[in-house]
Amino acid sequence: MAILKAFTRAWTNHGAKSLGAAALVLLFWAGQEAAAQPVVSREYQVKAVFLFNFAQFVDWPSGTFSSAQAPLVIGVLGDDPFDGFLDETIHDEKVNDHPLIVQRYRRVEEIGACHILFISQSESGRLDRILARLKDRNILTVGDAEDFARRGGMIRFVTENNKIRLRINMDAAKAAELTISSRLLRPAKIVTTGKD
Amino acid sequence: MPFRNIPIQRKLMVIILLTSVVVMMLMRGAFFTYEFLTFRKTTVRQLSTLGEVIAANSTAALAFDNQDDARETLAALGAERHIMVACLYDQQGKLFAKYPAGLSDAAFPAALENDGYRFERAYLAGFQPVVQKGRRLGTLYLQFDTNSVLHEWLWGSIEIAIAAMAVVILIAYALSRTLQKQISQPILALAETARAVSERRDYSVRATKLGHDELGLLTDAFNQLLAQIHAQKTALDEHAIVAITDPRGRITYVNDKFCAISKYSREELIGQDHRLINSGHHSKEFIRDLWTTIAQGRVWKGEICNRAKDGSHYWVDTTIVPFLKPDGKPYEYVAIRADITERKRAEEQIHLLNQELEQRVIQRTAQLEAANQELEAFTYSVSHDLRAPLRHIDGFSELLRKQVESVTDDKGRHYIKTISDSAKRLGRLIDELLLFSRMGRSALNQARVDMRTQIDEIIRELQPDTQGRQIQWQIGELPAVQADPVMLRQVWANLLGNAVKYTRHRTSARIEIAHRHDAADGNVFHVRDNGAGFDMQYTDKLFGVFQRLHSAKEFEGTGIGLANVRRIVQRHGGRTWAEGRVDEGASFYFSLPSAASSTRTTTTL
Repeated sequence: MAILKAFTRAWTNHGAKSLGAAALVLLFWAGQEAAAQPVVSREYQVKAVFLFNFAQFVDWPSGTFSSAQAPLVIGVLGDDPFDGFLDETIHDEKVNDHPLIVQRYRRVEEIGACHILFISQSESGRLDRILARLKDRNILTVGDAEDFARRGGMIRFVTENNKIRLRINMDAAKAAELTISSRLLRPAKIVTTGKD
Repeated sequence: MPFRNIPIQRKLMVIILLTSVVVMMLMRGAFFTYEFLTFRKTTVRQLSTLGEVIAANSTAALAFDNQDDARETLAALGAERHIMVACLYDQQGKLFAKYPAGLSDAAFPAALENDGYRFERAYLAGFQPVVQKGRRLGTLYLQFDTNSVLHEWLWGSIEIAIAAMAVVILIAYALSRTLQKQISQPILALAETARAVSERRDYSVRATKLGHDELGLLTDAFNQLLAQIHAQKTALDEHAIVAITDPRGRITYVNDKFCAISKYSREELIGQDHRLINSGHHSKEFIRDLWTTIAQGRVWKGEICNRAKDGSHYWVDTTIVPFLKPDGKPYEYVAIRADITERKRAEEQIHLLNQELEQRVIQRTAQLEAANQELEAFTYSVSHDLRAPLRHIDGFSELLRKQVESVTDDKGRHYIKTISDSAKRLGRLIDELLLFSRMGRSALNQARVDMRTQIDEIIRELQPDTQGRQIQWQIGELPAVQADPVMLRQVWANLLGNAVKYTRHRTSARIEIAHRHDAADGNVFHVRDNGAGFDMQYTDKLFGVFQRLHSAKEFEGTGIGLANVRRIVQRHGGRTWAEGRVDEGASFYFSLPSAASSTRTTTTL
């Protein structure tokens, strides 16, 4: 369903130029249903959309943007599981006048101006160090590793009943001076650092 | 019963109540309309507010594909029982979450419509965009059961309206009961007074004034009117005998004078037939004419003889005025009478006296005529019979004169001459008396008379007397008249003869004959001379028989001439008169009525 949603959004929002990508998604999704392929891709397609949607429910401190038109950066640390879907999702999108761009980092030290950072499962081993490193940055950290939120990540994707649900660590977000809309909290589960 | 006929108290109450209810209803109606419009607006606003809240709460659910959360959010609508259905569509317009959750998809609009709220037949429905930071995440659809709300609201309104109306009617009724008395009481009092006045014909009562408003003015005016009527009635009662009867002649009202003259008490008269006082003096036709006249609505006037209780009769000068209903038929007769019994009695006496007088005049006239005729016959026969002996005296005195002339002396001859002269004079006297008598009896033979011709002839005949005298004749224009020529000639002969005779001593005599027309007397002729004249104190005697102002020695005459003139002129319908002064002359006038005269003769032209 999320794929269809992505597809339709692509169809409606981006017109013909997105059509190819959308058709690809559809084909991919249809094949997946038919051949019971691993669900990773579909899952990450949804997660890509969610990452984009976070931009609409989170407010960053004013200093995080160099200008009103400065891009809102969605970063991916470690292996990129989105397989280009993330780029596709945020293509030509704007949130509060900020165009969205995707940046990929291999190491935490590479992270420059970044607002939403997806920390790939490939970085699970280094997570504590990464989070500690990002502690003073106003970056919304998102991940799907086990205990991601409990360990200090802000939003974790959890798959429940074949649906992707959110776990949010409010303390971590507050520490990063991020304001998460209470609306986002409604469908999410709140966790605190150290607990799950 | 038509509204105009209901009592004024009820009318006022109905007006007050009706006005209150109508005003109340109009106000309610206006308020209701306003409330209805407000209600719709409010409902839309409330629903859109609710929609916005739900939409706001649904953003995350849509953004993060959480149908459970969306359902949960929608479930909150359970608090508003008028929300029939609600649902969320995702960005692609696909149904995302439903309320109530168990309802089949068919209960929701299959396709999205324009944003905004619209009133459908039984509900208010609307599509509300679900937006997060300017991005549209989906659409919320709400359906609000306006029908039942409207129903509830309507019934509530009607209940309030009915309750308010009941209260208003109660208060208005209570107020009107007290307040209407302010107006109805004086009017009712006035009406009561008016009724009492007209029923009892008692104009001395007065309406009580209860205030200084228009009704007070009306009361004053009414009382003033009563006072005027009372004054007029009092004045009328002072003078007249008044009775009022119904159309059948039954007495409904009498005044004191009526009672006094009829000698009946009021109690005996009221309700009685007016024929009670009929005297039987008048004919059936007279009575029938009276009733016909008044029954036709015309006023009858006349003198009636009535009978009093004691049987005596009295006369009244009566005016009966019928008062008519709108259909022209009388509803009452007002008879106003004046007592004329005394006058009638006096008239009766005068009538009797006149009759007696007339009788006496006829008797006397007959006596006089008889005496006159006797006298005339006597005069005639005497005159006639006297002629024969007179002729003998005259004749034989002549024979005697001849016989004794030679033998007698002067004395004897004088005696004989005196006898002869006296006989001749007596003869003339008798002739004139006969003429006078004839003038009185003979018929008038009217003809056209040319005065001037007659006068000229007479002057010629008078030649023997005028011979040697200087007489200046002045004859004016004289009209031709219609008269007996022989008689008129006598008139002129007498008047001109007199003029010549009485101017005998004048060296220069002047005799004037003239005519004038007079409105009263018609043609007036006169003969004026400058002769001996007469004393005006004897003017009446001039025209009498044997009345002479001069001695036979002075001026000879029989004393019948002017009497004859008067008789002739009188027989022609004219009159005679004279003016004069001793030694200065006399004027003799006679008139002939215009009818007796004709146009002037051509000779005078």
